[in-house]
Amino acid sequence: MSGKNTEVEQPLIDAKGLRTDGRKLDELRPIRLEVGNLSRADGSAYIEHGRNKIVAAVYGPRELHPRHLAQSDQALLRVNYRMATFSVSDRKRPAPSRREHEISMVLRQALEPMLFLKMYPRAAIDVFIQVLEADGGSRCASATVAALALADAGIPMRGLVAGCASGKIDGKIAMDMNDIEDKIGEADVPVVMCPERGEITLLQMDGKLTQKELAKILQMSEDGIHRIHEMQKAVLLEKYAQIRKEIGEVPEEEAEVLAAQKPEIEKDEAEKPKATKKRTKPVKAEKKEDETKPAKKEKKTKKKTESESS
Amino acid sequence: MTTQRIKEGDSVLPGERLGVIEEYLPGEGTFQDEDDVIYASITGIVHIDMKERKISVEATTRTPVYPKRNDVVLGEIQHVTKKSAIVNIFQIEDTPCPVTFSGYLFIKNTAGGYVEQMRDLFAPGDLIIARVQQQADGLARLSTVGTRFGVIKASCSRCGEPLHLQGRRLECTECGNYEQRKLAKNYGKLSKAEPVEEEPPIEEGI
Repeated sequence: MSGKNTEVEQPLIDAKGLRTDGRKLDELRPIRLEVGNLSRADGSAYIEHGRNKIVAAVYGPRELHPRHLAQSDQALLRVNYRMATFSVSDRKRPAPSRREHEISMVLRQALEPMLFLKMYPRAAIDVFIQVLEADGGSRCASATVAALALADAGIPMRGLVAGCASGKIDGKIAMDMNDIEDKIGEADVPVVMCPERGEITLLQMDGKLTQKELAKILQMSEDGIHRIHEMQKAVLLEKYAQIRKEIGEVPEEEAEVLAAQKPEIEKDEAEKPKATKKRTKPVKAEKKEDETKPAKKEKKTKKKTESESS
Repeated sequence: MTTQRIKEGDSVLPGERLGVIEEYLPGEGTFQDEDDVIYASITGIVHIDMKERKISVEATTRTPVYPKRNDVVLGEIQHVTKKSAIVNIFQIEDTPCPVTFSGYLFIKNTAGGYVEQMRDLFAPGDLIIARVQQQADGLARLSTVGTRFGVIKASCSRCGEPLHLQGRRLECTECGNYEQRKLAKNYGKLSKAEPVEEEPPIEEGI
């Protein structure tokens, strides 16, 4: 996130059409998901999405303090996205930044339409998202992991949401942007959607794109989100099959079949050579400076969110 | 997502399609969409009741506590109007709630007969046992019809001391005041739940 660019100019896509981390244009970074990893939370989940490492914890529905925030007809969803001081290469100052507040807000708006908040009037549902290590697309990974944590807490939902930020690098449309691509690429479009319902709950854009390019990016993100969604489903099913096996409800074979599903998906997105640090293009340096960019965005959906990219 | 038909005992996840409204009634852990399709809203196991033609999902995750139909709840009368009372529910079945829920008690559902005024049967501050008739718009509709239900603890409206059961009415031993309530069978004993004196989460004002 240090917006600083090194000296050597290097293309984001090499002669073979591979990206800096060795991925193809329509390939996701490796993703690993865990559910229920925090014992004291009502629901929790963990994601490693490329080099993003994010923990989400859900508490509630529970008593809301301060009381005056309570809504008499529905629960209040509070999302708190925070980055650890060690999550980026330059130490992030511990106070919540403008960017963190903003991402908290857009994530709240991305999760809200998926929940039945009317079921819990005057209550609060708290979602804490802690970024331990940030790579590009952390808000999308946060949405993915928050949805899992909410499902783990047993909070009724219309569906799981997942996020994927595609964009444009070196004139080409690429899926699931990583940090460097995010910083020096031409455009970055984080999308969060519920793939089963085909509803987009978060859409932001940073950079310039033609309408056609945007449509193509949306298509590509949708594709990526479907793949992430499959992993979310596999990890949830696996956890509860495991529990049921322990209490003897499910024959062992079935649990093993379920358990086998997940590694398969992971293999698919197997480890790729890591990004090299020395690449860059100094041109867009100032544009990508962490907290100072003006927002540029387009609204295509019901959930509109004013903001900047990460 | 559009896989084969959902069977009894299937594991489902939130958002999974279970069937259409012509096939089943949406039960617990499910929801019906504008397109008349029934989806699962929680992670769990499908149960299909072919007698009632109802499909429901039994959670395999933990379940948040909130008042459901037919739950027996413990609450405090917060406000009494001529024909109704507002109740703060702080225990559902045997589980203390992390939040207090609002309940609504209409005069018709208090004693099973004609009642002139709500304040003949309840006063603010009374602890009551009630049954949830239905849960609508985040307001649990309560009923105290039946001997098991009604006031289990009340205090004197004149001096605030606890009232004691004296025959079929309540007497204040401090000031000698007599009061009338819709009494539960076990007035003064907080049923089976042992931690009887548990204070409701402090709740002030409306």
